[in-house]
Amino acid sequence: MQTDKETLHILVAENLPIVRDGLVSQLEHLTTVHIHAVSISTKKSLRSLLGARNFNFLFVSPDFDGGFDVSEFRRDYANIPCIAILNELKQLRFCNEYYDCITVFDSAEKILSLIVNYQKAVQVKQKVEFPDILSIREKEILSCLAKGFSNKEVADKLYLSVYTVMTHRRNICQKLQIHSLSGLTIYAIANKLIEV
Amino acid sequence: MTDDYQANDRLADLIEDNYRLLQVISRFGMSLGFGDKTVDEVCRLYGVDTLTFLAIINFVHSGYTQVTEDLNNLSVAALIDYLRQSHVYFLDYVFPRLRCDLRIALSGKPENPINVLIMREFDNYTAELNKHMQYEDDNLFPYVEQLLEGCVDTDFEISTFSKHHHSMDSKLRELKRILVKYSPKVTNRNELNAVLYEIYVCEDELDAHCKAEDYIFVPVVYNLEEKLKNANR
Repeated sequence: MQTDKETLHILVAENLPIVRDGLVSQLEHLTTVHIHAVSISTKKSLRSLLGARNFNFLFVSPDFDGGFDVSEFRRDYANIPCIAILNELKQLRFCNEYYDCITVFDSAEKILSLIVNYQKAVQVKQKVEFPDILSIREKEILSCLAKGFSNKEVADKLYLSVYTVMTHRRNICQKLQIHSLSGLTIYAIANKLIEV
Repeated sequence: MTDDYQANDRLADLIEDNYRLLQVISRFGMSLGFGDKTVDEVCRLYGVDTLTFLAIINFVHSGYTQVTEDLNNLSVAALIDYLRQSHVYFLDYVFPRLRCDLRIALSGKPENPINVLIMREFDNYTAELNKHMQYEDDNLFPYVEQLLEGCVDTDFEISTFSKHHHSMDSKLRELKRILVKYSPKVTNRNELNAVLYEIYVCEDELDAHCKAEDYIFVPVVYNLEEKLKNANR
């Protein structure tokens, strides 16, 4: 099931087109996280993109466009983990200041685990067996909402606090992946929770 | 992974290579019937900045993964024209046509209340999209046009805009989900499938539009802001 998860934005800064495009392609094809990766090949573009928008990760070659200054980057963008792209293992000695590194020999799984380990809060797609199944209480609340009751009216009718109704409502939206009232009403009619 | 298109490539060949580029061409105000003219010749004919046109074309062709190295040399005015035309395309052409097709696909007697709600859901989405694009037309683009005239607005920065900018696609995804899972049986099932397909295409186009804003327009405006700030120091 496709869920509405946040996309991770990744910037790839690398001189070699094959490595650059290959890494972007690997990142975009990871299925357990939503990723949009863009690649660049000059420091000028790197500055423009970093200044203009937020990125979750920077993958960069240590010799990017004549040499990448990782200390300066960490000073200016402390919140973006910077991962070195190594074409040769002997480059490992340059990587002390990087958050981590990958090599051209690494598998997509290695790259994925690196991303997921860092991004603890990363929105990993949940494979839920029966995501649509609502509890009896949730069905009760949904049918009231579909009939046009407000949160307060539902709370009064079912002897619950408004806060509890709101929590149930949030869970219902999450389970059904439907957030609008008309959408919830469609679900309620289609599943015969209300008569029309 | 792509080879970049160049100014002396024939425009007709580009479209033959990748029909998705059609969306870009029409929004730069170009009409079909290019003959054997090159990209540069057609751009000159329509008064479009060639470098900016190629930046968008190559970005779309790369699957929105490769950003031009010429960000500093793009025409901001051409980008604004392109984005404004995209808004017109979605609001005045795509969504009215989708609405009409959806209405026909869901028509039937007696009218099913779910169909009424689906139309409401569609209209709510269109209204939100309208608001989103109207904001850019009324606030963002005039701000950038002011920058072009050398005026710096201290209350607004493009990075503030970009942090809150989103593609509006999750709500469209919700509408598609509702159509797929809860549409009542209709007699016009081919029509309904066709509309759903159109919505998928429209979603891709909206995503492409949003990415062009995020990865080309916003960085270009950021560079312009920086240049003006440095000049005023």
